[in-house]
Amino acid sequence: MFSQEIHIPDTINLIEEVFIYAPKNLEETGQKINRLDSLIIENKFLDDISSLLSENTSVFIKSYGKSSLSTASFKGTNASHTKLTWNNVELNSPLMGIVDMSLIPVAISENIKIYYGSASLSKNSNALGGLIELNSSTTWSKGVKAKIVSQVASYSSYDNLGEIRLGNAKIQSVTKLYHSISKNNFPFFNNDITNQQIEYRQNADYLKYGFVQEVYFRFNHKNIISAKFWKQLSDRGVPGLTSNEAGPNNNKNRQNSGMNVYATNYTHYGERLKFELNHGANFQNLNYKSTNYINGVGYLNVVNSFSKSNSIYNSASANYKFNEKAELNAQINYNFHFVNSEDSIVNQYLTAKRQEGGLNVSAYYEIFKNFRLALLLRQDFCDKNLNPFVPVLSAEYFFKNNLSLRASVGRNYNLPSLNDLYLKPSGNPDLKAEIGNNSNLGVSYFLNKKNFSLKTDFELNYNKINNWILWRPTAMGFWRPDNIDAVIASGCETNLIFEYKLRKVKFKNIVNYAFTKSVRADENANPNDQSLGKQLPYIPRHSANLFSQVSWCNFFFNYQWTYFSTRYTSSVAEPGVLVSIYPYFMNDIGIGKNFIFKKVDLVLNFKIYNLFNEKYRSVLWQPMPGRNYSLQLGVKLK
Amino acid sequence: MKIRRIIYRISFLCLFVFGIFITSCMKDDFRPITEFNTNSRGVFIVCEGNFMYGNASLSYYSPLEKKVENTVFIRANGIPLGDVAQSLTIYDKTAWIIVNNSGKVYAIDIDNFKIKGKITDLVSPRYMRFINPQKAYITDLYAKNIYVVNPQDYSLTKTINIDDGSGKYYNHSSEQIVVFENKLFINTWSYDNKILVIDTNLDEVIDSIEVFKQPRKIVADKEKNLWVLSDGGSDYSDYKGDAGITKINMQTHKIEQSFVLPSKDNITDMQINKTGDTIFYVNGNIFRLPINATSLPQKEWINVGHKTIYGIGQDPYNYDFYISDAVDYMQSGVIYRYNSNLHCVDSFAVGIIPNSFVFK
Repeated sequence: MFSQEIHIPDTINLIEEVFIYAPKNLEETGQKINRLDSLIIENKFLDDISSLLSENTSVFIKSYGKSSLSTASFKGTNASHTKLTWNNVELNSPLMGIVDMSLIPVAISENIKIYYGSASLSKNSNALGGLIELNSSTTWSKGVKAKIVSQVASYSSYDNLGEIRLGNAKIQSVTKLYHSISKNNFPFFNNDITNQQIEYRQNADYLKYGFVQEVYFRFNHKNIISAKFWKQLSDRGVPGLTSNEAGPNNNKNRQNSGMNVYATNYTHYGERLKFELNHGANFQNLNYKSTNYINGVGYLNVVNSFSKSNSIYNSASANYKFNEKAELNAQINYNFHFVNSEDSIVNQYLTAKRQEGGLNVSAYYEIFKNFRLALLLRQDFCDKNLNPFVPVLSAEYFFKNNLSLRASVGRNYNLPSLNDLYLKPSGNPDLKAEIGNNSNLGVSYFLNKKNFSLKTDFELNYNKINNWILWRPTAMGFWRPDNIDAVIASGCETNLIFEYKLRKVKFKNIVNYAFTKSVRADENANPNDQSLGKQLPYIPRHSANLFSQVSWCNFFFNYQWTYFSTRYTSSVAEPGVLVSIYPYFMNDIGIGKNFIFKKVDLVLNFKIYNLFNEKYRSVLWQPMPGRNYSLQLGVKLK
Repeated sequence: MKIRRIIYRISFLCLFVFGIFITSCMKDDFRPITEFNTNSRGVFIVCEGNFMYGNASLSYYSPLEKKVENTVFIRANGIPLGDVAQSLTIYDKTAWIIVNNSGKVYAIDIDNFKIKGKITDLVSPRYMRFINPQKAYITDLYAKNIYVVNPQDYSLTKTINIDDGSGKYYNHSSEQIVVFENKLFINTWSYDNKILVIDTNLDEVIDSIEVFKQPRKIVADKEKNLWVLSDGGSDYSDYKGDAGITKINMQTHKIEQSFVLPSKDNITDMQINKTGDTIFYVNGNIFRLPINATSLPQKEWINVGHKTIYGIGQDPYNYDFYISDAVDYMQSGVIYRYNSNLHCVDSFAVGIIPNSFVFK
């Protein structure tokens, strides 16, 4: 009765285009869970997760530029409310609570699922906004398959990826190696200083490389174990603002980081019982330096901070199917985090540890014909304290003609990160957990015809988050977190996927739109505080994107369009050059051809980014590149 | 047929939407220029903005007209002021704005706010003080040097090394400057507890005086004393201690008096009146301290309620008192103007984090 997610059929192209939309699983009752389209993943194979999400989902990405810090937020929540996992191991730093999406390559996973809001609770707590799940997969075919993808792009950018899959029906090995390097020294017109001129972006270079090794072993059709290891190193400059005139030897900021992640899994697929054990760990380190040239001394660091975080994740879960109409899930988990950080310049040290775990039980039942109910109950603990109790009730009704209506109400929470609590000098040990009460109402529709398919979804959401953790400047010169009474994040999201075929021509279009109102709902004692009811900084009210592909006889043409409305940077969402960023429209195109041979497939893909060569910014005073190009060659050995 | 109709409609919709997209374009900052002419007296209000947000701005207030002009720098010049406007000093007819995290100092005309010149390639400048038209000093948070500049040609003439090399912390930063005879008194705020004394003839450090941790503001009184307000460092830091006020004899370099502040609540600013006999300081509320007092005042001079006072200043012409409320440090600050009877005669919004008042 259980499908084995990693037991997918052997195909020539691992990521095969899907033309049929199936009804939802019972365990997705009342929730919004998106599987990212394989075509999109293929198109973004050499990119990082931030650009994939920004251009193809309603998840908002705040990015300082290519391969610069990028964080993700769902439905008006903030970056620490978005959790990212790789094969059930959380990639968010327990120290900072966030994950830098620009450091996560798309290529490390084959399946990307997005759990919106309370849908994440079946997997993880603390994801007030949502969860992005990256999972690997393999086939059980005999032989060797290899893939090499190389890309040359503007500004001395080179990306290479190699992948080898080998094995048989019993054992499989997947090895991936990747390397990305760029000077990223794009020209831009700097009109933020007196001597306005064309400049080349300084200190924006990056280097990222790593490998993934996965081993899968199948005892029989019911029992599979796997072990996966991912190592990555990165080094990048952190460029300054366009108004900076400290000279080329000052304010030189660099960040290098390392990541070692392993994930092991045992899954038993029984007739009615699916049982899963997961154990994994995430070891991250980061060094941030800010250097100046000091007269008479030479180069001297003014910031030299090191941080390390070691996290171990363990979980056991069981799913029992009573019949096609009833299912019960249970999961226990125990995680341990140990972190330390230091800044050797100001001699501030932090060592902290945290144990967390919990029990999660959920039941799914088709109570009447076409009407499903789901109840999830979750109780977690952190160290010696019980976290807020989390209940979620969801329902979904399936009308005739593939139309369904769903609703859910529930609670979720997010613990302060260890930096929020203990960072010196700005941590606040009195912080309380953020508690979100959310409700969603959605409608879905899909249609499958011979040469045409369509899937669409519309959802209204409302999320009141109490004790929202907000970092604010202080009189002491540093930023410090505090709980504010409440933030209300509400809005709607819709997406549409449609594909059709006219003789040999195939069209595929994916459209997303989100309206997000995320406002402070706390009364402030200061009579001059105007922030009540104002949109939170850097969260756009409107965001939309479109991906279109037309293909004909192995030729393909891709069009990508991305839009964000005005983003405000102050707490009162006021307009003005100094405190807001104008709406963002971005157009990218790509054209390519697949060459199919007996033993090898070739793909040639030429892309133009920022098609209309627009001068724009994504973050205030951070320039972005004009029209730029890439040429990609992919070789697959069959 | 029905499906075909759907396809045609969707195709038409796609073409229509594509048409919109390719005509869409982004409008990079449009900055119209405003011509100012403010030749009567007025007050510059330096709004430092948020670190790495580049939203520093300059406001100008005319007390006679009760009129404020915000963001006058970008409006007069078409370029942003930069990241963190730390301070402003007026010398002759020029206002010198120190833009800390942009590594530069802009010189602007005090009437029309047009840029006259700039000093660049500084690490993290904080304050500027003139000795004569050809010589001024600029302090710096990280440079471990004090810059000596020639303001007439905007050039750096030399640096004074203040690195004592002994500290556990990054010693020394340098902040405000008080000139007394041929000496400079400079406080070292960040992770430090010293007042440095520099001989202006030798341009060398000749003495240092230990005070409460993190000396934040300094002023000189009429009796040749230096007053130092220390915030004591953050209680969440490993570098912390009492907050306090220290009175130093500028001739002997000896500490005359020390007062421990009863709380560390929002210690942000200290100023002295025009006659040099009364200190004003912020410790949550605003307090007034006569220079011959033997103890700190028990009661505040101005109770500010829940406001976040970040800067204070007294108009030398009419003794009106100005206070700035930084609110949550992420929105427009609000200025209150009190007359000598402590009646609020005006209030108005300015830029983000108004930190100081400089009277023209």
